[in-house]
Amino acid sequence: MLQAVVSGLILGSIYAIIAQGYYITYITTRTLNFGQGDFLMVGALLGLTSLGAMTASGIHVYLAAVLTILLISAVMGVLGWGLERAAIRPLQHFLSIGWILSTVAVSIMLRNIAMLIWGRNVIPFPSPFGSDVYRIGEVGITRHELFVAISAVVIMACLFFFLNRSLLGKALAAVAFNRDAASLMGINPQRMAVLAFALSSALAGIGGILVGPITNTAFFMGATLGLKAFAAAIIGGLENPLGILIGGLLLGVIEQVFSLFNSAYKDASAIVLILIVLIFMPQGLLGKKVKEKF
Amino acid sequence: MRKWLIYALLAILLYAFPWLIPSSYFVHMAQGFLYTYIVVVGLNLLVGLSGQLSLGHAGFYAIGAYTTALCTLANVPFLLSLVIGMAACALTGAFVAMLSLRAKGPYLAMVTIAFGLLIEIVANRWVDVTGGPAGLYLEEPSLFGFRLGVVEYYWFIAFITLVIAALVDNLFTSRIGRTFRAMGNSEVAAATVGVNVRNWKVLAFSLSALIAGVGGALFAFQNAYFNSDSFTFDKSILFLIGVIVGGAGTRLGPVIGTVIIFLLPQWVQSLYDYHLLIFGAILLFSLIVLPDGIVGGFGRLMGRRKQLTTAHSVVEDTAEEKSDDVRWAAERQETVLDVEHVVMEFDGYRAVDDVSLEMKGPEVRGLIGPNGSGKSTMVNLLTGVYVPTAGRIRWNGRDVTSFAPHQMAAVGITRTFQNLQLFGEMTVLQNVMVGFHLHYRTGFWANLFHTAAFHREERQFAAEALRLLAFVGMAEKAEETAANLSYGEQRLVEIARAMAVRPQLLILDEPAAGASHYEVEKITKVIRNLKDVGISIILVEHHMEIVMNVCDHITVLDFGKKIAEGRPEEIQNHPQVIEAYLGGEEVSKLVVGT
Amino acid sequence: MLSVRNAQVRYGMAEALRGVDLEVNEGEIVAVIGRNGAGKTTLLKAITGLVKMSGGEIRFKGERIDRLPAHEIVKKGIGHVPQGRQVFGDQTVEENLILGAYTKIKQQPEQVKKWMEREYQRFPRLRERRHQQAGTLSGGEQQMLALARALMADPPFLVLDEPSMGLSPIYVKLILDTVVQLRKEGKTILLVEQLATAALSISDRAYVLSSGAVELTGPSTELLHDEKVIRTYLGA
Repeated sequence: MLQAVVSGLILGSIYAIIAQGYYITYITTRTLNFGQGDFLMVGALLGLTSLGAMTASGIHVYLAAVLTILLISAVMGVLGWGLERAAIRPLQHFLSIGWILSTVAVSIMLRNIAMLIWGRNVIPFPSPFGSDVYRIGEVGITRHELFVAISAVVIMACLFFFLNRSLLGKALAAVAFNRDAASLMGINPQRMAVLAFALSSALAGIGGILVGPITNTAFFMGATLGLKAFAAAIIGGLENPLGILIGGLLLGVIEQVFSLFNSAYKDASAIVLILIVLIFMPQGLLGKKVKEKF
Repeated sequence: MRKWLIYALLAILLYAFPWLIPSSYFVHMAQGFLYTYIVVVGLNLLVGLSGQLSLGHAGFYAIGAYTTALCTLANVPFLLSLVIGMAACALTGAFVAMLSLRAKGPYLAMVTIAFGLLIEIVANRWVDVTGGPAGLYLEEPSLFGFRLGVVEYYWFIAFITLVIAALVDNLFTSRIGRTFRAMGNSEVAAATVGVNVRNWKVLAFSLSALIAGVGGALFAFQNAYFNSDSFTFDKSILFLIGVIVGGAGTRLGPVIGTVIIFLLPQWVQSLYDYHLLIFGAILLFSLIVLPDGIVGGFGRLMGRRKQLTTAHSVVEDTAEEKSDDVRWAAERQETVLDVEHVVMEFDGYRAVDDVSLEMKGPEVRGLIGPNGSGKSTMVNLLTGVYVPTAGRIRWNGRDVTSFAPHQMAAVGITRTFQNLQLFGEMTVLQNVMVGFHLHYRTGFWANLFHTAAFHREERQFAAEALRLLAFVGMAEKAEETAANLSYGEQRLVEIARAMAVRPQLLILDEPAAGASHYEVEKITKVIRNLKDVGISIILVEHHMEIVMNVCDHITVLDFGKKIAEGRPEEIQNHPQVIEAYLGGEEVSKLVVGT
Repeated sequence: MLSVRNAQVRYGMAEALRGVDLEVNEGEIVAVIGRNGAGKTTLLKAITGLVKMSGGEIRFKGERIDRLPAHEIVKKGIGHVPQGRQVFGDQTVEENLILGAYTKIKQQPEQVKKWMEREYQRFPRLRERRHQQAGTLSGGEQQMLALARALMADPPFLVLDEPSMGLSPIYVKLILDTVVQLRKEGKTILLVEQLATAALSISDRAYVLSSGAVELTGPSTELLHDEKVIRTYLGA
């Protein structure tokens, strides 16, 4: 049981990382990437390739892991920039839900390209840290899980620092709060939108590297993970990063605990959780209620 | 009658198809096309018309398929099973709608996604009943003892498709469709003309689910076998693509949409390794180039001219009856509005602070005050958009404090909006016809089947709507799309729409803001006419010459408090009012320092 | 300094500005008065690029700015204090001020510190509340913050959109006094106001806007006694 809670927390922290990407783009542009899962898949596969290449050329595992994370963040950032330009900005003028489909369109193209490059089969993603297990009392943690936990803490800390303390983070928050007023400060809202999507994609990519060794990788791995991260964001409240963190962890733990009983319950439990939260708190756990003016 | 000709032609074409192309492969394809089309039609009703969102329609598709299939396996006749399947979908649709009523935007999307996934999981895992991935084997469907072969089953699908298409088209052009569209355009405006938005949302969801269920059921029997792989999230997305790319809210859109989501993948299938890439590229391209969808995009280019001619003759006929007496006005008794100490608080900030107000008998009451003094909040309180934090509102002796906007409309209070809330996609005439919402007598079925009573009522209300438009001087623009009007014109149409509610109290929220000189004159005249008709009016306005000339009494608010009340000439010379409005001597002195 | 020629703006089919001409010379306070919906706010938004014009041109220091996006116009040296204050409610007072200096803070961090000190001296109340969330300030304090925030980039030209809105007389006086003081500091000011007498008494010239067009213009002292102005406002 305790074991399930711990692995749930670890899985949940990955959901939370991916879900922060939804938060950043949603507050700045009122849109989000419905293909986030496929961006994650690209990150995972690229990460696998890059790790493999680096370790093969004799770079130390830890260094390789850090380098890979940086590399993937950069590549995914560029991809996110492309997504904003290709699928979000051209549709900004139309008050429609077109962006849901345009991001899906980009993601299915990515899926196809990934299939062409990496093939149709599931590729095992051996953790660079091997599969040693540490034991603390009854709970076992693999080295990879430890790595995930540490990375998650570091990434969340960086993210919160960036959002709350840095000038760019403040500018992002300003655009989110009031786009017009922000542009009167000399902030370019479109550049912030690009930044948001780049950041969001980078988070997805990192999520991919972290989750790869847990789930293994394939070109079709993205859809479910993307949806779960979305669920985490919605449970916590799409406009509250702390809520998203809680939502992600909650989702991970509940899934793992229920999978003790029956794997069918695992997925269903997550969904029932979402429905219950949304019925009673239609803005998520920590979402704000808005009053419309007429 | 042209409509029937088109249906007949379509029927013949559908009937002849297996002879024209006698290949079981193509007949099979045609079946697939038709039941996919059915689902898209249903989803279009929800997304395109009523402005809601469903990313879980594959769930209803699945429920339709499984319920119908399981019923036949329990030896229920095929047709009856189909009906049971439809009912099951309608019920779950209503249920999902109720769950998601308070959720908006991405949250609403999540509810529908979760529903779709839940159904997918059940289909996959409840193997004892659904067969899961291994699937269910069914008997060939039979109708009244006749077994349906491939071609016969195709005809059956074609027949159902035609019926559904015709009925949905009827809904589109009936008051039901208008109400859906109105709700999609502006929920709050729909509510203020008396639409119970909650119930209508549930209805839209339920109908859409029912239609999706029919599609699912027809799919299930196509091969006498199906399994749980057909009901994925991707399928839901695919249906939505059909709606949006075809042209959401248009009547022809689903046909084109189905071509895109059903036939296109078949064509690019041969490029197996690249088909997702091509499909994605086409989708992205069409979304960028044609954001209104294919039909919407072309419609904008082609359709404009045709529209303008249609109802012109009707307008000319009724124009003479100009400002014919507005009938309900005569029946009015004394109006009594009694607002007692209402308070409206937002996060500790009092937008309206202990305001009392009394209106007796038909009168025009001005409500004035500087920006931010709480006028609009007051209007929102009186029309049920907000419920006051404290205090009471009584209307004709009845406590209406916690009434919702549609209930306020039902007891005779309605309004116009400062920030214009016309149903922008609809014509001016349709806008006013939605205003009659509370006065329609025909029910759902009459509107579904376009009965004689339906046609009679449509004609009656169209004529009455034109009279109201003539009353505000907008009859010539009856067929114009509302969003294309100028500010002043839109305000006039809002007044006409509000009059269609036949209110006893009409609240005009800055009816002259943003209007040109000419329009201001027109609006002033209309307000005078309204006054003559004998409707009680609360007029929120900054144009003092209108307020001073039209109002019997004026109430002045400042900082959420009532600072003065009285006849226009009293107000004009009231020192506190001058202070509030012009900054007055005191502030000027303070500022200039003399 | 600023010249607006034949400015036209439409929202959809509705015309909000129907060809407005306006001139602001260096060192002036120019007031724009008029009723709700007359197009005052739209005019200011057109100047700082928050709405697109459908016709006409705007020049700032001789340079055309009407095609530029808002954030570029701001960099040219126009500060805009928007209607309703629009402070960033979920950030602190100090963060709001820092954002006001967004365009300058990287190149001239020292200068920005001085400017912030200057604004804190101008509005001591803001210093007291520097770590408080802007959304929790009173209306008057928010207006001070909005003004200080715009001044953080040290713009030579300032547009103010109804700074008195929803404020009590004391705050109105404080804000308008500040406007007069700013002119003494060498700023040029375009002021949109509802409180006509107050606006006219502190400005050099004024424009009366009605239905998206200039109805009257002239020196403020003349307009202050113009029958037509009084009638427009009180319908007397």
